[in-house]
Amino acid sequence: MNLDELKPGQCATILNIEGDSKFRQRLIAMGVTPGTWVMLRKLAPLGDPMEIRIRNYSLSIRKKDARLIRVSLLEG
Amino acid sequence: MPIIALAGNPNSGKTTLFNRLTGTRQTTGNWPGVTVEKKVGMIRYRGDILTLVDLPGIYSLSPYSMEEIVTRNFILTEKPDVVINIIDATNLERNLYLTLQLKKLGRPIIVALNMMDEIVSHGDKLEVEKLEELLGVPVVAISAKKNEGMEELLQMVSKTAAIHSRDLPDFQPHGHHHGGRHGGQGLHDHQGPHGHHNPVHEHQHSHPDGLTHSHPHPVGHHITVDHTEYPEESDDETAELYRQASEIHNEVLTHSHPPQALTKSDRIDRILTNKWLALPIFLLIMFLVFQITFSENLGGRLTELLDIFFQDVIGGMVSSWLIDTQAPAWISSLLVDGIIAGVGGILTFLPQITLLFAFLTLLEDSGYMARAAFIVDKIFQGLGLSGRSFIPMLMGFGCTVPAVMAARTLENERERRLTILITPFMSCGARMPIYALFASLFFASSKGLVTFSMYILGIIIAIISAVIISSFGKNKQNSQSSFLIELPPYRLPDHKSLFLHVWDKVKDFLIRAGTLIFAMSIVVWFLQSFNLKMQMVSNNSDSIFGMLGGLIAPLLKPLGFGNWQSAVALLTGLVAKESVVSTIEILFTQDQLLTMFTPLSAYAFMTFTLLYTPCIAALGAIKREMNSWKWTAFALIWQIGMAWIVSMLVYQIGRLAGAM
Repeated sequence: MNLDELKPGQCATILNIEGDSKFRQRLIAMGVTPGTWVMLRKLAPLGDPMEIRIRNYSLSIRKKDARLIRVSLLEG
Repeated sequence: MPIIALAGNPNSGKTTLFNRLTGTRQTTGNWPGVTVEKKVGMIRYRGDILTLVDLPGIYSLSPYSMEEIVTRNFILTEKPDVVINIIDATNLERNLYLTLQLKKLGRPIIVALNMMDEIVSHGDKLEVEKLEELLGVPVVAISAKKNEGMEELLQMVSKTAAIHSRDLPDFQPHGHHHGGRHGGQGLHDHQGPHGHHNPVHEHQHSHPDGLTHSHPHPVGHHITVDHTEYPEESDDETAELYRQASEIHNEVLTHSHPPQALTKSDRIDRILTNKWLALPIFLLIMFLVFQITFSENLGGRLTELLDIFFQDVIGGMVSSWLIDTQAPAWISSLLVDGIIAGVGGILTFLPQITLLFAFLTLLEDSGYMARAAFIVDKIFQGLGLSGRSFIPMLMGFGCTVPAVMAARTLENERERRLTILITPFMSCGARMPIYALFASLFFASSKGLVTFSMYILGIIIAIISAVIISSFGKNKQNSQSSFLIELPPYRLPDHKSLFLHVWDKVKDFLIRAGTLIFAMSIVVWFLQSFNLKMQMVSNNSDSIFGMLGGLIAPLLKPLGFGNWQSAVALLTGLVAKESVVSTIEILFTQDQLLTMFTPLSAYAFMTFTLLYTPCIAALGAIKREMNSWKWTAFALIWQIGMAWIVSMLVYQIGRLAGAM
């Protein structure tokens, strides 16, 4: 599944990032790297962007960008 | 003089530390060739003077943004004697990524571990000695906000600078990880001057001359960094650095709570970015900022008092003194009608500028500004902008110049250009006195509403402009915008940083009032008091300005204010918008104003001043940020065109609708 499909409160592990290299580099610089644990915190009041928790901080990302990040859902 | 560089992530407390270390001894400028702000300050420490260069806040050194390139180039070519890398202890993992990258550049690094007080108050445990050992560089625990650990940090900096000032450029920071035990002993541990010397290097130290040596890289010695020389990291390399950062983080930090536990910040966010409450709270905060800054009881009242002070007290004193001393008429005219009216008129709205910048700084430093952008991002997406455009636009209500500069934070070129084009329509503080003057004369009973309508009109025109301009560029806009920003924890802003930041803006404003506006007041006074034969005229309409204004006036006829005085006022407003009021006060008496304008033409005039080019300085900022004359010319034409069309519509439709 992709990051934008998570529901608030759900956790996942990042598998890989699609998109061009500039986009990937920007995400990776912010700590969004394969193997990292991520949680969807909430959606903005108007439904987009979303707030994720990663590497112990909060990052805001638009759904259309989150769609390029493949994750595997962690149960529990 | 040793050069110290300060590098770190955004939101790591870098600015606070910079302010702590340098106080008011700082200068602000730009990095050559780019539009990234450069701050340089002086540190005095035990008789030594160190130069501290504030590098832009960055998350990584991968050369994608101007900020990253500036940082990388500075460290590689200017070879600072020490790089202080400030890291946020509460966000260790991500901050360490930059530290590991910085280490690879080969300059001596000192890690300033900031926000240690928060680690302690969270009940978490961070082993500073272990961090030092794992990183192989000195680590000093500090709290920039609480002013703790500064002595230890400076001691370490001055020692390292002395050791390395005569090093070969390709020095590698080996021998640093000796005995790891520096500031880690605690925030309150003020050690003696020789508290932690490196025994290996001690003999190289304690040479006072070494500190006053001229900078080893004279001005003009510029190496252009070719990026192929420093190949960007591959995804794998970045991931590897992050893996190391993560490992170090896990080894040195023990959380007292599970990672999913709610922090204080999360609890605040439950309310402030709550699905239902977020927008109302956002609007309420914006309303309060606006109200306190501009209302008659607070900001407005202060302005009124200052106005009385300048016009009546100072003006009155000077003119009676001039009468006593029997000074020539032209001198008293220059002083009272020219300088006091002009400069005094501007200084009166100093309280509002101060308040507005104080609020903007508070919102930024508390962490709310990022939330505000998060909340409104969706709205801006539709306009081809991002939530981050909101910040420049909000600042536009203060002053267009810093607002246009704030658009730098937008990484996407197209978004940045569009934001710069529409930001001038946000009604800046300098336009306030114009509304205040006209609204109180012509709309006494609904002053507030009329003024407020100007702000709304500005926003509407900005939206219309954004839609039109972005629809033009649609076919070639393949560069997608994104909204990848950190939502930093909420923090109480530091009052010293707040003060310095606001003082910076106020100083800038005062300098403008003292130089540009002072000179303008004299020029305007001269142009409106003399004719082309250099004779003083008794009737302003015979003056040089009268002639110039007369030429332009017919163009303003359809807008309802086709008189030369209005044309002249608008001309002087190009130099600085505040000048519109001072010119009007010089050219018209209050009674004349009341006969020359109707409420409708006054409203059309306000509309014109709202929309046309804010001032030369704003245009200069636009040129600098766009880095293109073509776009600057476009901005100028767009603004004047919009101003003419909209205010013509206001006047003509108003007349048809039967307003006076």
